[in-house]
Parts: sequence; C-alpha cells; structure tokens
Amino acid sequence: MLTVDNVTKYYGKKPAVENISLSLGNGLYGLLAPNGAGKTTLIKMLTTLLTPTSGEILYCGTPIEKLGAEYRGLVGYLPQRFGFYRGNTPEQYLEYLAALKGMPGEGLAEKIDKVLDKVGLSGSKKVKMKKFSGGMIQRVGIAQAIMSDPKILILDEPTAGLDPKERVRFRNIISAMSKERTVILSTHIVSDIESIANRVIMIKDRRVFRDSTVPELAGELEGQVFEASVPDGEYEAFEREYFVLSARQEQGSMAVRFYSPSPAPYKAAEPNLEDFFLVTYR
Amino acid sequence: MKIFKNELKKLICCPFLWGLLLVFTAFDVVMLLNDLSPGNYDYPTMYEAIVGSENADEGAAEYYRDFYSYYSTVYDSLDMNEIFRQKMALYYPEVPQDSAYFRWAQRNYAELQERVESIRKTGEGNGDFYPGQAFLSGERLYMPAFRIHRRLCGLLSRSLLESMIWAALAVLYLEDFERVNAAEEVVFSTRQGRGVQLKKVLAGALYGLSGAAVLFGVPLGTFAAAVPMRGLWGTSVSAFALTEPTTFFAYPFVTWAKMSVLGQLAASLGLCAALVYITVATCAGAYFFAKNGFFVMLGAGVAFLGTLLLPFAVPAGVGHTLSMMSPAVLWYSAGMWFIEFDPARGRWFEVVTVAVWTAAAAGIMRAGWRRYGE
Amino acid sequence: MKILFNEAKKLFSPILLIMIIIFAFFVCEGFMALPFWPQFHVGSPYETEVYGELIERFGPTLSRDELPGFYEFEEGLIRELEEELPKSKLFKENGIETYEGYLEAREELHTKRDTGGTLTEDEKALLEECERYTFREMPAGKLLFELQDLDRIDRDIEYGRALATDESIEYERDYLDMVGEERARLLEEKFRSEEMSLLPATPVEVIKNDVLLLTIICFAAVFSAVLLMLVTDRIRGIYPLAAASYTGKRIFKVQAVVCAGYGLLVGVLVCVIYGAALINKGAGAFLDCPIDNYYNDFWVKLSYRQYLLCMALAVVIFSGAAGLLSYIIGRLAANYISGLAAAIPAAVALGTAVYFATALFFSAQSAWVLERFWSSVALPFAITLPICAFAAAGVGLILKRDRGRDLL
Repeated sequence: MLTVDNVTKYYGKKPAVENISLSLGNGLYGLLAPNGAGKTTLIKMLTTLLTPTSGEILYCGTPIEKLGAEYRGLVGYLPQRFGFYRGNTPEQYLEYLAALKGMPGEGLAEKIDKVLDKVGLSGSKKVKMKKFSGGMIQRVGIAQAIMSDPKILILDEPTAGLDPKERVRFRNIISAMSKERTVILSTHIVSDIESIANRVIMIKDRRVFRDSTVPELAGELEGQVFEASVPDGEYEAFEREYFVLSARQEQGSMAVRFYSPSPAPYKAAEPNLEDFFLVTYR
Repeated sequence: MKIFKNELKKLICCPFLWGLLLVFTAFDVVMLLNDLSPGNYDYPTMYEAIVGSENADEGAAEYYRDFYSYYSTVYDSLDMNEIFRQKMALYYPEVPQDSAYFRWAQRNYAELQERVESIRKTGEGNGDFYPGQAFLSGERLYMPAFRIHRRLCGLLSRSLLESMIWAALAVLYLEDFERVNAAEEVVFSTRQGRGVQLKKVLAGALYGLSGAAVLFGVPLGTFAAAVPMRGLWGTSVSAFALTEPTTFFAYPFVTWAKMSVLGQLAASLGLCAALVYITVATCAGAYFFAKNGFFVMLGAGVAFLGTLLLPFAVPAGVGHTLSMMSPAVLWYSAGMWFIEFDPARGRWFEVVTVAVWTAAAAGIMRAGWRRYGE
Repeated sequence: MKILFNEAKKLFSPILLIMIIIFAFFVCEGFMALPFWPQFHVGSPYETEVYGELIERFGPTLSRDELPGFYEFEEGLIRELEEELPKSKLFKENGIETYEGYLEAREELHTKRDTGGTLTEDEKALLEECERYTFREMPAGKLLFELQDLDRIDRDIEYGRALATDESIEYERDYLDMVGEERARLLEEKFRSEEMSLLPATPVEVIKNDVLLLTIICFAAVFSAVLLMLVTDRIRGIYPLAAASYTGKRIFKVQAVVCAGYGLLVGVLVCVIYGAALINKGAGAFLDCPIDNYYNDFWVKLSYRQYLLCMALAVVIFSGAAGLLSYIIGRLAANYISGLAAAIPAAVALGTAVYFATALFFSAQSAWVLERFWSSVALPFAITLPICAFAAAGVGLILKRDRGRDLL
C-alpha cells in the first residue's frame, strides 16, 4: 500500500501541490489534471526525484525516503520525457537500465526479449534507436518500466505517440498488470483512463479534487449533458448560452454536445469522464 | 531583423561566454603587467637617457650610445639578395636554383632590395626613440615568429588565439542551440526556420568580433597606458633601432612597403578581424555538415594544430608555400606580418591567405548549407 | 560493478577516440622531444649507444679509479677513426691523419665561412668532405659522433664539473662565487664527488620538455570524453530514469568514480606508451644512473628510473585530477559548448600547475630545501595533491548537494 500523507511541495515560495493525501493499493489509478496542476510534481515525489516540503510518502507504513533503494527497486517509471541513447539498440538500452534497476544478470536476456515482444518491438531489438519513430521510442520506454516486474508502476503520459492499435495493446498490458500491483497512469487522454482505470484522482488548484471511480464521476453530471443539432448561423449564440463540450460540423449544422446545470430543451446524453473533466476545469 | 536580434540576444544573455571573456581578458592583463613590470624593463630611465636629460642614468645612456653606434649603419651594408642566398641555403637547400619557384622568391628579394635602397635614401631607418622601448614593444606587442618558446607571451598572438576560440564557441553555441534544447523540429518547420541558421552565423560573427574587440582592446589599452610610446607610433617599422639583436640574422624588420609602427598595428588588427571572421564562418560551415557543435569545436582544434604543423611535413617549394597559407600559420607568425622573414612568403602572403580562406570558408558554408537544407 | 562498467563504456566514443589519437600524433610529432631524441638539443644520434657501452663497462657511474679505463676506451675509438681518415684522398692531400687534425681543419673552415669569409674551391671541397665523413652511412660518422659525446665527458672532467680536483674546480670558481654560499657548497660537493653519473643531458631534457605535453594529451582525452558523457546524459534526460531506479542518485557517485578512474587510466596508458617508446629509443641504458650530475640542478641521489617514476606519477595524478575537474564542469555545464568554455581555462590552470610542479623538481630557488630528499621529491606533489584535494572536495560538494537536491 502506497500512502501519500498530507504532502505539500513548494518551489521557492510557489506551491506546486498542497495537502495531498492518497491511499493507493493494487489497481489502476488514473491521475487526471490540466497542465500545471501538479501531476508531474506528485509523480516525481512518488519516484523520489523530488522531496516533499512537508508531509510524507509511505510504502507499507515506512517512509520511502527511509526505504531508499529498496523502495526504488519496486518502482517502474516512465517519465513524461523519456531519455535514451540514440546510438543504442533497445536491447542494449534495456540491459543498461536493467543494471541500474539492480536486476540480476541471470535470465535477463530472456526477460528483455519477453518485454520487447510484449510491446511489439521484438523485430527491432537490434536496430539503433536513432532510426525509431516516436511511438517506437515510447514503447521502449514502456518496456523498461515494466521489465523489472515492479510492484508500483508509474507512467507519465505513456501513450503519447502511440497509434490506436498500440494504445489498445498498451491498455491491455497495464490493465492486466494492475491486478497485482499499483499502477498510476498520468495522462491527458481521458479515454485511456476511462476504459481501464479503477479509480480516478483529479487534481485541481494543487489539491486532490476527486478520488473516485469513473461511473461515480460521470454520474455527477447525470441529467446535465445534452446533445443538439444547431444550425450554422445560430452556433455562436448557442456557444454563448451553453458550455459546449464538443462540436462536429455537419451539413448545414453543428452536432453539439453541451453541459447545462439546469434542464435544457434538448436530448439528454449519457455523461462520460471527459465531460466531467471539461466541466470541472472549464 | 527581429530574428537576428533574437539570436544576438541569446549570445548576450549567455553567462559562460561572458565568464570566459573575463577570464581571458584578466589573464592577458596579468601576463602583460608581469612582462611590463619595472623590474624587467625600466623604460622611463632609458627614455631619459635617449633624450639626454640631466636626470639620465649614465649606464642607460651608454647602452643607447653603444646600440646606436653599432646599428645605425646597418642599412649601409644591408644586402637583401645576400640574405636571400643565405636563407635559401640554410632553410631550403633542396630547392633547385633554376626552378620557377626559386626565381619567384629571388624576385621578391630583389624587390626588397629596392625597398632597402629607398630606406637608405630617405633616411626612413632613423627613428628617434630608445631601443629598450622598441625592443619591448617588438617583443611584447608582436611576438616575432622565431621566439617559438614564448609564442603565447606575445600580446597579439595571445589575443588572436583567444578571440578565435571565443568566437568559435559563440557561433557553435548559437548553431547548436535548437538541437541542445530539443527545439529543432519546432523551429525548422517554420517558414523562417531554415534561414535562422544563416542569421546565427551573422550574429555569431558580430558577437565574436565584439569579443575580439575587448580581447585586443583591453590589453592594448593596458600596454599603451603602461609603456610611454611617445614618438614610437609614428616611427617606421623598418627603423634600425627595431633591429632584433639576438636573432641569427641581425638586421632590421624590412617591410614590403613603408609602414609606421601604428600603421602595422592597424593592419595587423585588420588581419586579426579577418581571421576571427574566417574562424566563425569555417566553424559554422563545418557545423552544417556535422550538426554537432561539440565535435566541430574539437575538430577545429585538431585541424588548427594539423595546419600549423603541415608546413614542417611538406618539402620546400610551391607545396610548402601553399601549406603555410592557413590561419594557423598566420597566427603563428603574428608579429611578422607585412615584414620580410621567410623566402617562402611573398609580398602579399598575408592578404592572399586571408582572401583564399575567406573564399574557402564561404564555400564550406555554401556546401554545408545545401546539405543542411536537404 | 556492472553499473560502473556501463558508465565507463559511455566514455568510449569512436569519433572522439580518433580525434584524440590524431591530436596526440600532432602533439608528439610537432612538439615533443622524444621523436627527435637522441638528436635533440646537443644530443648525437649515437648517444644512447656510446653511453650504453660506457655503462656496460663501468656501471651507471664513472669513478676516478676508472678514468684510465675510460681514456683507454676513448683512445680505442680514436684509433678506429684514424684508420678511416686515410681512406679519403682529400684528407691525405691536406695532411689530415689524426682526429685532432680533423677537428682543427673542420673548425677552421667553419669559422671562416661563418664570419663572412669566402672559401676557396679547395676549401669548400675539404669542408664538404669533413661533413660527408659525419654521415650515418660512413663508418667514421658513428665514430665521430661517439667521440663528440666522449669529448663532452672529457670537458666536464677537465673543467671541474665532474670528478673535480683542486685544480680543475677553479674553472668553475667564478660561477660558484656568483651563486651564493649554500648553492656553491652543494655544487662543489657535487663536482668533487668521487663518482660521476654517466647520464647525459638529453634523457632528462626530453622528459622536462615532454611531461607537460603528455599531460596536455591526457587533459584533452579526459576533458572531452567526460564532458561528452555528462552533458549527453543531462540533455538526453537519462538522469531522472537512473535516479528513480534502484541505483538512485548513487549514479552520480558512480560517474564521479568512473571519471576519476578514467583520468588515472588515461594517465597510466599515456605514461606506459611513452615509457615504452623511451626505452625503445635506448633510454633503458640509463635507468640506474643518478640524475644529480652537472646538467641537472638536483642534489639527491635519485636514479633516472626513480625520476621517471616520479614524473609518471605526477602525470597520472594530474590526469586523475583532470578527471575530477571535468566531472565538476560536466555536472555544472548546461550544454557542450559551455562545458568546453569552462574546460579551457581549467585545462590551462592545470597545465600551469603541471609546469611548476615538474619544473620544481629541478629548481635552484632554495638549495637548502631541495637538499632534503623528501622535500625535493615532495615539492611536485605539494602542488599536485592540493589540486587533487580541491577537485575531490568539489566533487564531494556536488555529490552532497545531489543527495538532498530535487532532480527537476
């Protein structure tokens, strides 16, 4: 169990996160927030790259600072900006990272092969990464995060650059992994969280705003999300009156999905997590 | 213009370049003040001896009188054709005397002999200043080429090398900026993006020359303040009193054309500016090929050393002269520009070298730019 | 261990290695004395051979008792030469039959030529013949150079600079009177010693000249590789991954160790290669010769071998210090160019320190201090070790800062 106990982080005099408290057991947690809300700061504190200004982070009741290498050995981390050596092949780079992760040499080659196969890179394991596309690099990043079979998997914007097929594959991998470990997925792609997250943690104004399930969050907007077809000439006026969640141009009109706290003379729609995200951070 | 200003701003706001400029300048001033310390050369005393004032120190006055009597007639017997013969026998004995190269070198020295005769006729060689000061300025200011072991003590040599290094670092920092900050894709996909690289070269050149102005200006200013040059600036470089008495060939500096000490300094500074520009352009051009500032800088250092040593590996002749036409060799001989000292160098050696390299640097830039654009 | 090895591998860059090798080649061929030794300064091409033979006969030193044997050896060479001289028609015609006669004739002709006189055709031909006899392919050539080297020893003895007697020391009296009491006492003690080192000037001159250049090569190799590794790691975003792993911020310590180790390794490698080249060129003959002879301002009985080891140790230590300094610069530099900009003055400062450290090995500044063995040997290290300590302290501060520092 990973516990975040009233953690605050200041950069100089500016607060990045304030009084964050969370309990994270096994399962997949989606970390949702707009830019600058404090997601990456929280993640960096969970990965010991940053030290909280106050509060502490505990793993099974022991502060992670005290556990040190023992804790880090349990963590698999994919940063937002995944660094790599252009001249290395994925196999070489994973070997390098495996040493840093303290993984034993025995059986390492098989583990690397297995994990590259899992992310669909077994055919490119001996190709230098300078020849890789952005999506392939990201897959190497995912591979290194999961290769040590971590108890805590922290992924910061993991699906950036992945095509839909790869994204589905990724979701399946981490979803399966989350049964026996804590997986924290920080992303802007709401659909990634919506389909697989057990719980969603939303941060607003540097604090935890919501810590709930997807149905519960979406359910808060029950009866407040509508769909309409608005003629082209009337769209601007419509936008001024209602909070438009999405709009799609059709022949002579705009197919609109919008939020209205009070009943509106339009067809009600089933609210989803993205609606809740947009309404919360509007 | 805005892009150019932005690029220049990147340089101006770069603290390490300022830091290096400060270190270089401080080093130059300290070295110069150490060289000029009263313990080394008591030039005010010597000056008093020359002007024959009542405060003159007898020892210094006697030294000046001896020097004058020994060297004042040096132009009477100076024979550049004989010097040519001796130098060819000593340094280039393998050059056949019936070769076009030999005849070309011989013609150069015949021209110099005419110059010597002109000096003799007009009295240009009689400069009214004291030899200690001249010796001081010659050694400290220009670093004659044969003083190999004290190469880096010469003010101009030092400032020139530092300027070339500093300017190269500045332009490479700018060229590599987007790559290091992972902004290449964003910048170069814009309409003006590719053109930015050329504006960087201009900004780098301007900034490099500004830095060079400091690296030359501060030590020169220190020198001018510390050494009472007085009448020396206007005196001819070919004055007999500038004879370097410790050299193997003890004769004055014979310039290709009449040139005052100040005139030679000004022309030298012009050459230095050109060399700094060549450095900037060559490094920028190399960057377009290598796309890595770090390796270009190291490569420039290795190439500098290589071109400096190349003349030692090339046998005497046309090849040898061509091998000497490099910025590195020009730097090595800072202090002997526009002056006769090597039969392998002709009248326009320095100017031609700079012109050729300016064209070469432009060529490298053009070729690199084409490749870069692809 | 694997992590250490992985980090060390990063220092190896093929392009950089090629550049360093080319740079080292240029420095060696352009500025070093070793490629030209023994024909360096006043050395002759057969110096190592003739001295080697002397050392084989008499040991690393020549004692007063052995002088007759030395003169006999010299006479033998003269006799061999005087068998070669009659083979030249020109020498026969000019009555040059002895070694002395040859030297006189040659000197006379040189003097006439160098003072502006005009040589007759016959004189030119004779001078050319004198010089032809010194060519390597001539049997007399080797003998003449060997005798030149032995002449030097003769002069040293004759003029009181070695195996001095009450009479011969008077040649040095003027100089001894000039230098001050303490130094004069030490010099006289050295000149009057019953044993004369058979080490010529050039083996030490070569080292004096080259030791600074060796450290320049080391610095170039160390600074460039370390800067490349550290700045690349920062720019490529490797540090967050590494710091978040089991290894954590220990990665910085590992890298510091690797950089220092690399510096030491480069220093050792450079010294081994140079040492091998030095021995290959014949310096092995001199290893047991004391270096405190007339040519060196040194008064302690250190052998040439020990001197080489001291210089090598200084190079290795400085190279290690360069590794640490370049680690500091690499960790603090934001990019490659700023790293290079900081490395240039650092390298110059280190180079200056090397110069003073190695020059202090032979320094006439304080004879009283230098007379004491440990002071004189310790002086170079009195400069190198504080620099290492300073560099190590700098690294320590950075690592300490890392421990509590947020890795943004």
